[in-house]
Amino acid sequence: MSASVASPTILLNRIFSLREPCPFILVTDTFIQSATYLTDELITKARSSATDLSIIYLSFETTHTPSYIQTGRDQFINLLDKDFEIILTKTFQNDSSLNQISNTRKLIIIDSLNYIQPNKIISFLKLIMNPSHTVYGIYHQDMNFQLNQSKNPSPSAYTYLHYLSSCVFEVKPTDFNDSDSLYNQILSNGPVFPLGVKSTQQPLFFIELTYRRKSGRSLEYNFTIDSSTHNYEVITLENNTTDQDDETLLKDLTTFNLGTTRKQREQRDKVDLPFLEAQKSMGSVGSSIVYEFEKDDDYDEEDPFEDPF
Amino acid sequence: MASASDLQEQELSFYQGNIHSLIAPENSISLILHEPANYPSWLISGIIQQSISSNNECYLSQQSPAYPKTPSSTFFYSFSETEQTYSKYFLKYITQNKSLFQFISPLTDSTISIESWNKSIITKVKETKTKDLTPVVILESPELLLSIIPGLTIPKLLTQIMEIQKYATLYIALSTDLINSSELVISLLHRSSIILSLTSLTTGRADDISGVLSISKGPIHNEDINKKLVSFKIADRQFVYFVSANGYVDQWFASVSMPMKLIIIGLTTVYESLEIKSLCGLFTNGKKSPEQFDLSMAFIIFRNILEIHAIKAMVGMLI
Repeated sequence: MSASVASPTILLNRIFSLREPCPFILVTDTFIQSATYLTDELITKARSSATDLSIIYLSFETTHTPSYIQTGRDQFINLLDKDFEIILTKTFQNDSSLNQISNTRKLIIIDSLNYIQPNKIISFLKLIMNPSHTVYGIYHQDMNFQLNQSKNPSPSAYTYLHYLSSCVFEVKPTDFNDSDSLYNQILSNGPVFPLGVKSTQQPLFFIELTYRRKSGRSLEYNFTIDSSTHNYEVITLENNTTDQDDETLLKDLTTFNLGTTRKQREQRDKVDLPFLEAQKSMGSVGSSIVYEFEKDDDYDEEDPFEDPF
Repeated sequence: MASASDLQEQELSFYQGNIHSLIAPENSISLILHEPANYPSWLISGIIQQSISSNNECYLSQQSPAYPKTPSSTFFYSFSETEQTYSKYFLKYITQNKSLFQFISPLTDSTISIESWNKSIITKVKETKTKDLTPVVILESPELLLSIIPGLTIPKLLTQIMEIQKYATLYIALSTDLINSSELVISLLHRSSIILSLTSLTTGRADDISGVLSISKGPIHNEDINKKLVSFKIADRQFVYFVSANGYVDQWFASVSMPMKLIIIGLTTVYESLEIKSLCGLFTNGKKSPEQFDLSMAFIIFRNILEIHAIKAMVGMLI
């Protein structure tokens, strides 16, 4: 069914309304443009398509329960600096027994995956992954340091998460293409101040979607999302690395005419290059050097410079 | 000769269309980030003054009309300064409802155990919290705790801060230049609903401008925190400010003395005074909309390497 999805916007809508088979959605963001607006879009779409959807919010940095968490149906669990294994096992053990009776869809939101140690990421995901669960986890790219230092060198948490995710959203401000933009400065040098006017948390932002199909084929699309109007627009990024031929490189470089005309190019193509000509007849004798006597050659038996071979 | 003091002063306001211009919604984090040379004492004093005031008084927005307001209990915990640093401001501006305000320096106060610093705050806050009114807590330099308390990690410190946030409107003032604080700064940036940064002018020192105050939206939406009031729309803009010496000399922070003036045009140092005045004249004729002010300020502060006539051309297009 999903193979028939042709339009990127339809695919995006299907992911938001949890109709695409996406067990783990990874979202990367920065404090310049956080995933908050994207989360709101997803919750609104998911709630309207599945009215019985239950949300479990696993909080590492949110103090107050978000307004979309409904008491009775949804859960808000604070995990910062706590043993998540005990809490999650307890939460989902009760849950699995209930699930057998009522098979309601569950959306699990993790507000920041940065606080989990890289070597515990797998066990964390193992606790929350379930066929009836959709996991939506946010990873802050600008917090690319280990808050909980571990002694064993291991791949970064982001490497694990990116590998395991079935769908990746990269949230960026619309000016991310500009190498001098705040977004790029923050990713390379850490936070810089002042931030400037209307440069953070803009309602219009850019997302890069990587969707991995079950077949292994991965689809990549770019969108701009206007969260105030809920409009999604597909963006085709221009490829700046187009091949330039010699002619365009030499143009206007000096006052000398370094270019070639069409006629000159045609003539140049007709010239037989000497080494190519030589290989035609010499190929049969391998690598040896063969002297071919030509009619004008003056052969002298006592020539001191004669080829000894 | 023209100087920045000739310019029109602006009201300082963090929120659009909100009469309590400096007071954040309850249970939110407002982050004040500063460089060592741009100490935010003048700003913190203004916040305290408005918080404890019963008629919305604030010396940073003197032109705004007095408006009845329920005063909030305000606790200022400074881990880096003593009351001495703020004494001049407190004497001058903390005149109303003095009993509602407390300055606490946990490092010099022997009655507070530094390991359980947040518990003493929570106890005080809980005592004063009522159903309708959330106390205001200002934490200054909590990053120093990471060096002071053995075994305190960033997640632990964040947990302690979150505990306070549950009961209070929280302001956190941090220095961006302190070693090892960048990780804490980023963690707090992701938890804040408003980011206030005080920086020097990128063009260098100026006699009539102390620095730039930039107000930006944080990742947390105020609508999520405050279900009762949704009018906390952040005024995403920049101010340049000037803290004049006014006869006081402070050896450590030249900017600690008072009073200060907020002025809107961020043009100094790079241009001649005469040109500044002619440009400012274009902006302050009183017929411009606030949107145009934002645009022009952004342009001037960030593109000040451009030629003056290019700016004039731009200004011409805006008006």
